[in-house]
Amino acid sequence: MTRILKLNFLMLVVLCSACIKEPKLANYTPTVALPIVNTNLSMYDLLARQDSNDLLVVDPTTKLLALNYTNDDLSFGLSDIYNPQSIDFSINVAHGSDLATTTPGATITKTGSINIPANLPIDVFSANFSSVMVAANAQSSYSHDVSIVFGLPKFTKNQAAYSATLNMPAFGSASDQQNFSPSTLSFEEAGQPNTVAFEYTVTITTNGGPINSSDAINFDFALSSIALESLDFSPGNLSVSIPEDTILLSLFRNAANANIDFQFTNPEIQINILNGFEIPFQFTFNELSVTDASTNVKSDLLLQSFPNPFNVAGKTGSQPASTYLVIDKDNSNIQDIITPNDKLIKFDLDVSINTNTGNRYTININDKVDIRLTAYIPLQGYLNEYLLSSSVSINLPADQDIIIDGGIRYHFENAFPAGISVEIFYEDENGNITGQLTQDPIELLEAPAVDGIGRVTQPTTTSGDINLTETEFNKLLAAENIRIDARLATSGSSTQTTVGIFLDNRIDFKLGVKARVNTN
Amino acid sequence: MKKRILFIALSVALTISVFAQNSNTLYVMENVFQNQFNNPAFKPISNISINLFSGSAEVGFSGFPVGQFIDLNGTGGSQALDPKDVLDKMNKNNELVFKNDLTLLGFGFKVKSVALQVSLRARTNVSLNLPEDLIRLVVEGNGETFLNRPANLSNTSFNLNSYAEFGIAGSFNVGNKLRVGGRVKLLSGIANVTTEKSELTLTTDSENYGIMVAGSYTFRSSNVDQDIDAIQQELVESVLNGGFQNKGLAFDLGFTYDINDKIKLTGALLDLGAIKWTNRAQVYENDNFTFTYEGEDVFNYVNTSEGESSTDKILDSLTSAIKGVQRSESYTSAIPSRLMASLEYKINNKAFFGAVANTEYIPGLKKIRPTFTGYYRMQFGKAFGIGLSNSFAYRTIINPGIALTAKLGFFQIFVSSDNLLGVLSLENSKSASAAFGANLLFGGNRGIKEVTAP
Repeated sequence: MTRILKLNFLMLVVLCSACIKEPKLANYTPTVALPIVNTNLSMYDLLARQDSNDLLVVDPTTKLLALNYTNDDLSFGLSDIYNPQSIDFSINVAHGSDLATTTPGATITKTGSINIPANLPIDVFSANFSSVMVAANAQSSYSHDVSIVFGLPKFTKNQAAYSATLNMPAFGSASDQQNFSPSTLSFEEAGQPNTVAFEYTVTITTNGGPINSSDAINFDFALSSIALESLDFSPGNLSVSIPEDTILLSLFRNAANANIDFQFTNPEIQINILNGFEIPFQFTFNELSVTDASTNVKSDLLLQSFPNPFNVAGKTGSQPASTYLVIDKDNSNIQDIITPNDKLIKFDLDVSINTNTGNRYTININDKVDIRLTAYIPLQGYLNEYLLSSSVSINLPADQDIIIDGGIRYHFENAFPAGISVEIFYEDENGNITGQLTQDPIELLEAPAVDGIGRVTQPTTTSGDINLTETEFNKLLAAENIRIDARLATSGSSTQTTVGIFLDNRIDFKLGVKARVNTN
Repeated sequence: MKKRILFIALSVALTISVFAQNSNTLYVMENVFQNQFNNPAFKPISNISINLFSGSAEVGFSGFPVGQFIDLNGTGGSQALDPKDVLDKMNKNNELVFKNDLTLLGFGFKVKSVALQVSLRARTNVSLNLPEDLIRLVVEGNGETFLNRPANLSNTSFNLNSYAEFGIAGSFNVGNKLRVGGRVKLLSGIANVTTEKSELTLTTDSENYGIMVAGSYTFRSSNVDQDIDAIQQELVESVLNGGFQNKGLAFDLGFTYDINDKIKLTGALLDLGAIKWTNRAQVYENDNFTFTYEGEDVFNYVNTSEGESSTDKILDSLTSAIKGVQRSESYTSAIPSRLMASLEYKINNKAFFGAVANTEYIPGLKKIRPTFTGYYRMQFGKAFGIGLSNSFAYRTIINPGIALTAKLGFFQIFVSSDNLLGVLSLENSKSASAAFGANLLFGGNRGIKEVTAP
């Protein structure tokens, strides 16, 4: 009986489910409304998105946006000015004529100095080495065993002067090598730079044959593996070599297909040099050019009234001296060259020291000169009416009876200083226009008014419906392509009014579609 | 063989009952043994009554004719409705009802004024509530009326109660005018769906048609699954594997009172009880969900799911937002209960007229469903009776009903319907109901005129 109870329910369910049918409604044409787009457009969407956070800078006062492209870290320091691989000299000492006797124990003790000129036009007064290796070699022409004690009294390590003792057999040689780090070597003797003082004592240690007056000891001295810690010197006319550098401007990369013909009104290249030396420098642009990344056409950036070369002062206190110069539309042709296409700015700088004053300077290994070039492009300018035309292939369902009529509802709030109007055409497979969505251009975005610095004073709101009849829908469904002609222009572009792109510029887009659907 | 015959008979009876049905009109045909299910105080006409088979069914929709979406006559076709006409006929809430009762076992006897009865019945109630805005949304879409106001889809609900009922009833006289009766019923639940909470609004922004869906829900179920195939499979397995675990208890109370020789008052409170659903009992709920879709953010679009279409992503988001928690949890639900009352005037021993009020309480919907019936009935000799009625039900005034009884020897058959138009033409009727059965009656007063009318 229990099974019969359950079967009763089962049969009821089966019967009910079998007899339920869908209700039929005549002229059943619901109107379906759905949102399509709800988005906003800001400058971040037009710029290279991956770099935007670094690229965009905001003027703290006006909130005007600017593109800020900077070269990689470029600098030079002590090693770029003076970087000796070795310092060496050779002398002949202890001539036989200087000996009073030839008996063992006879000695010669003398002092002297030697001039060691640098390979550069500089006068060196002293140098501190963080590391240095000292090698001494002696060759004797005596027929006696001799010993020489060679010293540099102004080459000190931990306040102890350098000294090397070399014992040589008759007609023999000897050598000595020392790691003399860290150490200080004075190149100043008797007020003269590039001069190193030395002293030596030679002792006859064994009997031998007669001593000729021409007998002597040839002594070679060399500093190698030099790492300078600091240098006290007086420069002459000295050039410093620094490599070429480039700055890539990826302007409007996200809008590359749009080829936005925006005329920047105030692009700049800012030159900021921090001189950590006490030495004044002179900088010269050997090359300053801009290459279009898409066409590879190179144009020289002509420095019309910008000083070339220009001087950079040395520091006077503990802080580096800053030199700030700007290449702008007033002193160059930069406004003609910086356009929205991607650009590669190349610069080749020569640096020279041209004092000849005899001033002495001390520079340390940590002192350096930083060279920073920044392409600073405030987003100010104007865009004349610009036609952007694009055809899009569409594959709408062939069943033209689904949608009876409907339309698109749009609502835009425009805080960009630009306006956009569009025209939409239907095209066949050969690109021939077969119809037009609306007779007149649809003003999607009304250009807001701007103030004196190009800031939008009041966003504009544009709302409306583009209604499509069944005939128009059928045209749309039958079209192979849709061509959209969009005309963009900044506010007041006809009078070349400069507009600015500010932090709060944005466009809110809302689009919805409504269609009466045939369900029969 | 006997089981097979019984099964076929039950199936035929059930099938017939789906095309036919029950209720207020049958309530006044006191010479029918099954009428005591409507009021346990009704006194049987025979000393011994045996139910051979009987059943009843009802289908109705308070909105438009049920034949538009229920193919009860098997033709498969239907006349198209004017959508505007459909919307005009809609009320704030529109209820679709299926009811089915099948008496599997019925036996009763009386000794003097005391009557006892034992019964076993299978009962099913299905109700679906469709808010006006839901139907308007289907007919109009969201691009007309609902651009100016939210679509209130709350109270969209589905409730299903199917259970077996084993009852023991007794009735007796209290004095000369009053007779009282009661029934204790043990229930075994077969399947249940209860909508406890259903709140849903759909808002369409007129600015760009942005859509927001918000609401909450709590559904409980036992022994059902999401699709009909699963339900059938589950039931077949249950039949093969043994009994159900859902137990319940219910009571019926009733009385009849002779105000005088001409006027009689009756009343009954039926199906006061509940079932505790334990077998595969599930609760599905989400206290608060909101889904908003304003369109694609085309400039900040991030493709996170390769190969997934925009529509799929939206639907996935919607599903994810609406999907709440599901857990296994036993619950108790009341069964639909009824309050019946009648007042009858006896013109003579053969002719009577009166009125019946039937108010049903639907626990899931938390609403009452009243119907009112006026009737006139006659007895032709001892064996035949006829009742004619008209009911107000499903917001329709014209629902002509009929009840017929015939008794040949020990064998009695009966058939009744509260809405004959619905049986004859479902295409144009908002409801249809009927009852059908056969009994063996032994002893007692075989005629009608000596029977104490309810």
